[in-house]
Amino acid sequence: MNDVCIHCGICTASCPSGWYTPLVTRRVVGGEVNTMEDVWACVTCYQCEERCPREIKVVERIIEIRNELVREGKIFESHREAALKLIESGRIVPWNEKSGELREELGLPRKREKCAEEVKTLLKLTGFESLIGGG
Amino acid sequence: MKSSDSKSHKSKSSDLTSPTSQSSDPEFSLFLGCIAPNRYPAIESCTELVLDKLGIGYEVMEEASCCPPPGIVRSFDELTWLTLSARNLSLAEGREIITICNGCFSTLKEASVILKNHEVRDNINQHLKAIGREYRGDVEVKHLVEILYSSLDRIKEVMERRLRLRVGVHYGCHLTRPSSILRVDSPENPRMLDEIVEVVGAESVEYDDKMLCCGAGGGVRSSSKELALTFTRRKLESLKDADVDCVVNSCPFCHLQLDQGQAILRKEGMNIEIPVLHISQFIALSLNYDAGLHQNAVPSERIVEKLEEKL
Repeated sequence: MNDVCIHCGICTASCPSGWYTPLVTRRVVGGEVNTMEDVWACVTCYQCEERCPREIKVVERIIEIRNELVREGKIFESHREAALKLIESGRIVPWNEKSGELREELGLPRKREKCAEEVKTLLKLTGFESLIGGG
Repeated sequence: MKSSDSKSHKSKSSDLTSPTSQSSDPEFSLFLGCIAPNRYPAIESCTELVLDKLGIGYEVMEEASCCPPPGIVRSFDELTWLTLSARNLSLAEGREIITICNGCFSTLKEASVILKNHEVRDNINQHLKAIGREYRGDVEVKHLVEILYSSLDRIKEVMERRLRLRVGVHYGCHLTRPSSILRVDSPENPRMLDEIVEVVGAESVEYDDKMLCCGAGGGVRSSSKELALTFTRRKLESLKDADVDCVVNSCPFCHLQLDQGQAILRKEGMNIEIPVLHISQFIALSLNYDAGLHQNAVPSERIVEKLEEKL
């Protein structure tokens, strides 16, 4: 098995979030850590995975834990707001009047995105809308 | 399948040898993402200008949605992430996608790899059927950096001025990592961006923390602004120590964090002012084009004055 942690700590030493927060990636891999504060400190830079001598998918594990937490209803309010923007507009960073002004100033069309309705349909089908609490 | 109603862009140049640029059916679909069109549209206009100048035929994917991001949305729900990615990929069927953002690149490329498995694809297509679409699994995804890197000779031909600047390049995380999937360049010591800025006359300056994240990724900018800014400050301090004229990136999200984050840190008293340019803007400058730097949060137009001084 190449996915068994040998506790070398290279993931933890390579983790920039670990410099500034209590996140210890080695403990995430070991299944000892699954709090919001820990797993959401990860910037998904993948340095840990790149350097792991056992090729353990550390970020994948962190994302799985985050998915589990969201399913338990645990989500930061700022993240819920971002998710609601996706539901409303099909975009995490939506167009606004200011975008229109900046675009026109550069000679670009004021707005040229057409995706919201199809995305809404898909987000209902995948259960995202009810997961986030928007419907 | 719905037909795309996107506007076609053909090259403006007439002396091109590339068959794609002369074709009425462009080779590439251009995926703009969210942040470039909606927060830094100069990145969009510069990308279009540069592709036109290089004779690369493309069509803007106007029906595309959010990629969605590999950190935040994938972290909420993997199935949703894959489904929206598959819809975006389906819009480009028959063409290769060019992305201008590391997040979009990483999402669409990884999704395209996952969706090569036909069982997974069939499952996702069950959802896409509801909107009259289907993904057949054959779209390749490239980052603009790869396109530019394969066009270095052409850039040399069309450039109109040498950019004699000291540049710190910022790769960000998701251009090269995870390398087992993205397969773009070395995940520890990439060279592509360095070589692109050097081809237009700049010096790519080595600096501490060159491969450090900008701080914004993985949902951190949204959930913990302070942590994100801690990364940004460290990065900017290293760039200042290396005495660079500007920082050049390949990702509008990093661009936003380095530019808007820097503006916040300056308000808090940080004495650093480093103009932030997306690689499309940097190449546009070498083509003597107004790169729209006045729309940055940090005063950036002095880079143009510096160029004049160094002529």
